[in-house]
Amino acid sequence: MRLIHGDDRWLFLTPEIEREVPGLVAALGVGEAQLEQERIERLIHRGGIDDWFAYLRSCRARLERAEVDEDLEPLAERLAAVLREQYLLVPALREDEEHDAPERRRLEELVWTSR
Amino acid sequence: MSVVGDTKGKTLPARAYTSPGIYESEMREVFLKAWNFACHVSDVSEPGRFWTTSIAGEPIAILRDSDGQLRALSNVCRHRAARILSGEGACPKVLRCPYHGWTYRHDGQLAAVPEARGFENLDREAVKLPQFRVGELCGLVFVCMSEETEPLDTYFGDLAEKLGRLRLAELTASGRHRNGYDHNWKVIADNYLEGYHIPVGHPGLLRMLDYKRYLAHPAKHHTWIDGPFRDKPSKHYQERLYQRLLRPMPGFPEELEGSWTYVHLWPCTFIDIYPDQIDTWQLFPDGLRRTRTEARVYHSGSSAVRDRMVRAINWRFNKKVMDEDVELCDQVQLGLESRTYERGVLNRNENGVLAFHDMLRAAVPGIDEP
Repeated sequence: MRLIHGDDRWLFLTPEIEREVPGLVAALGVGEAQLEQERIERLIHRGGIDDWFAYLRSCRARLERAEVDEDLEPLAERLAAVLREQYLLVPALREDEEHDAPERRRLEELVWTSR
Repeated sequence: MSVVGDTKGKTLPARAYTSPGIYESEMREVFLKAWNFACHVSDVSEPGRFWTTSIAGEPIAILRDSDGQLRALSNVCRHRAARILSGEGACPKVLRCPYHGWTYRHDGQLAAVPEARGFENLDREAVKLPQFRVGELCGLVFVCMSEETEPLDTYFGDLAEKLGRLRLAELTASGRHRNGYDHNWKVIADNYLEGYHIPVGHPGLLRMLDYKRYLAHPAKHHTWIDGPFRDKPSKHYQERLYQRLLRPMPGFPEELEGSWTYVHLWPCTFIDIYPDQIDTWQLFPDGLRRTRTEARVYHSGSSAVRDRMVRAINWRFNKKVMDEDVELCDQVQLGLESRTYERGVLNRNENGVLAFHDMLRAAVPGIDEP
């Protein structure tokens, strides 16, 4: 018998995002670390998996808008890789949704184009 | 045995969990040489009070003798090997074996024997229960069966400074909850020592604890694990209730009020430090694939409804976490028996496991050989 509530399981996705994203978006000039941290914490407390992936899409969109100098490229690549990992983990929780494949492809491009 | 090279950042091999020879070595090289937690000082506070335990299967009685001295005696009658004392309680004057009534003084010396004239070769002066080293640290009593191990005062490094803040000796000890699991003892210890499994194994805890600050700090013969709370209320009613009603026990250190803190004492005692109560949880290896456990609770003794409610919610949470962990350990135990698994690699959030395995590598010859 699984004791974990079904609606909690998505939370396993959150640690690396919480650890990495606030610092990375701030360093890339597309967010403010404290605000980002609070946003993530709000999602952990009150959000669900759909809200989570909406947030990830917003991170990807901001990354695409970022003007990345050569010296910041490793950070951009790291952010793209951290976001992409989420799309590799989520099939354990649910079927692919319409956003997933294009997001995954876009993030893969971002990882590769920044190399 | 080197701990660098191929094994750096890696777990012990599966064989360390499945080899009868390694298990025997662990009992001899780890348990018989360590300072093992035995009981709370209040369990043996008065002359004649005793507490029974075991180390590597060796029955031991901790006793406060009539002079007020703490003693650790072999709990095996020298006549026909029966266990003399059971559980805990008082033996105000002497210890009497329940089998044939051989009677010992508090210092272990044989005092009297029923039908003594019926023995042809009994030198009663020579009959004495073996004694072991015993000591107290921050309200906890420890026993060591080796004369060569360093003194208790220095054995755990700076643990006394850390634990001293909790004033454990002043707390009320209650319960003696026993359980048993079909796991090698290290499977359970490994699980306790790392937070990497929390997001998957206990996702609900992520609402309570700030996982990115969940850190293990390995130190001399112990590991201190910080599990700080998030400062926002949880959406879950019970979690929110716990957060709202929680008030630390009187005298609880301010710097730990916003955390659940976990401590591993080598070789396998664990202390859960919650602001509302403290638990000890001890593992007793009972064969290669079997571990008995014993848990105790220490609290301020407050019977206020609010405090009792907080302790009850805490118990409920951690019972659920425990049940989830048992299920995970079941799977690990099975996997370790697999012919295809050799050893794993460790995440930075598994540094407590790495430190534990390195200690085992240093203590148990051959444990790292695949």
